[in-house]
Amino acid sequence: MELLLHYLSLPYLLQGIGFTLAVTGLGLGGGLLGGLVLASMQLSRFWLLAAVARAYTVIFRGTPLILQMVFAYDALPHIGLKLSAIAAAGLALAANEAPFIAEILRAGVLGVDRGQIIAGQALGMTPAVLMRRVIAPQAIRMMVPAFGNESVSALKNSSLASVIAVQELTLRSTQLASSTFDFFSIFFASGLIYLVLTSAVSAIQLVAEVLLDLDRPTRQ
Amino acid sequence: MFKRLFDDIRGVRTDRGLGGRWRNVALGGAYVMALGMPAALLMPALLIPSHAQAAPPAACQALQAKYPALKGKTLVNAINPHTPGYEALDPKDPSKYIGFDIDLGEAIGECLGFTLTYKAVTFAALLTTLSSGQADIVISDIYATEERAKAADFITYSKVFDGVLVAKGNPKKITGINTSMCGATAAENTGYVEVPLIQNLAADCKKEGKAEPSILLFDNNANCIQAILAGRADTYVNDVNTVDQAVKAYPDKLEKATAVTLPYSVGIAVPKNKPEFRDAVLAALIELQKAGIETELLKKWSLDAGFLEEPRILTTN
Repeated sequence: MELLLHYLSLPYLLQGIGFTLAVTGLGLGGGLLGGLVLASMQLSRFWLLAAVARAYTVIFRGTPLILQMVFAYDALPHIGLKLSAIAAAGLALAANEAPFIAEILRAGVLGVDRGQIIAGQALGMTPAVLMRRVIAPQAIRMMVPAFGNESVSALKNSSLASVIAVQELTLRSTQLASSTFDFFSIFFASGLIYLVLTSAVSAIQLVAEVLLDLDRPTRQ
Repeated sequence: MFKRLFDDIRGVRTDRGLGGRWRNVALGGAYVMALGMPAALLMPALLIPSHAQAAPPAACQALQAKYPALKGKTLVNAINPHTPGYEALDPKDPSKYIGFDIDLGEAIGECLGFTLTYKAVTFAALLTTLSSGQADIVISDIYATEERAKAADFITYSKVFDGVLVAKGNPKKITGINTSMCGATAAENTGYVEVPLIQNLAADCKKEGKAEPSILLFDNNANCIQAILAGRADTYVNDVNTVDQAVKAYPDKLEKATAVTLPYSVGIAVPKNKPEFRDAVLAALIELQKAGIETELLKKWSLDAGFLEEPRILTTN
């Protein structure tokens, strides 16, 4: 117990959280941008754009993240693109998250009642206005739980960056266990730290759901 | 600000300025982006090198004059820091790596005028990290073989002695990399030279009518030791000093069955396309060995089973 508390408060492990969050942040931020592009390509009227997006999805959703990370870190330098460990991990996670986030966005947009879109068009709304006033407000509300899932999974997946020398929580835990032989306490402690982090993501999700709840009483 | 954005999406607010066109869509992003903000809290994690104890020999001055390009440089050393005695975190201060290889690298650096930072990778990734340019040198108790010399040049300095780690009492009566391993399970790291040696026993085992040995592959030394402790593996063959350290850590549960010689040398790996750097490291290592510093470091880390040999280069085209 004493050992567990020691490792829970060890600056070396706590600093690893910073790297875990950095990789997760890069992955989700980049994944969201990529996802927006992919989703708009898939929903586009031009078949070529949709086909390219589909091909990207097949490749990056169909290969393991750990492989993509090693590729970004060890293979890209052979074609002249040498990224830092964090950048390589962030790039791989973003490239991997993008198709999943694109699907969330696409499902959200397609989930809006078709009749409302036709009604909006009948009222003369431009596509942009239609998106802003009718589709997005409903779609985003529906997407929140899926985004929560995706954020938790990205946070856990960031632990794979340990194989490409990112000094995040998992790599720090394994190294520390190797030098101290305290396997049980160290992995228990880092498991607890991950739980706190994923719980925080769940809390953000709940707050977002409450704030977006239509039945929430307003002050007006 | 978030309150306003959320109200906006719920359709509560009525003033819809020009700037609000994509605000709704941006909101979903804002939620996801909020998770990225802690990235700003990222703390510097540069590992502070520990200093080698002996002073550099006088001949190092001449080497620094001969190889001026290295002076003042900061190079990256790729290591698999799971081997206490050679390279592992300092349990007292985990922001530092310590061990014989760390001290040896720092001593070479001090001699040639460069400093080292460290990159922790899996054992199998040591040479790929080097050849992709993500590291400049590998000093991580790696054995120089012809096969590996296709990926990197080596400067060798010590003969290889392996220990055979087994559970206390040696229940499977393993006596080395021979037919006593038939039917047993060996834990090894991916990429270890011992892996093909154990695999090659299959034919001999078959001749004796026994099952062939199976191998569990891990990516660091600690996992191999844990595999024996957990009863998943019967043996782990690796550098004799590493095996001794494991026995020292778990004297009630582990023992060294025997020691075996392998026809390899321990070496420092450098990129193939930097012959000048390779020659500089070779020259520095020769000076360090001549001045007795390498022996001193072996003693410091209680690696008394070290069998130093004159440094030389292993390279293939």
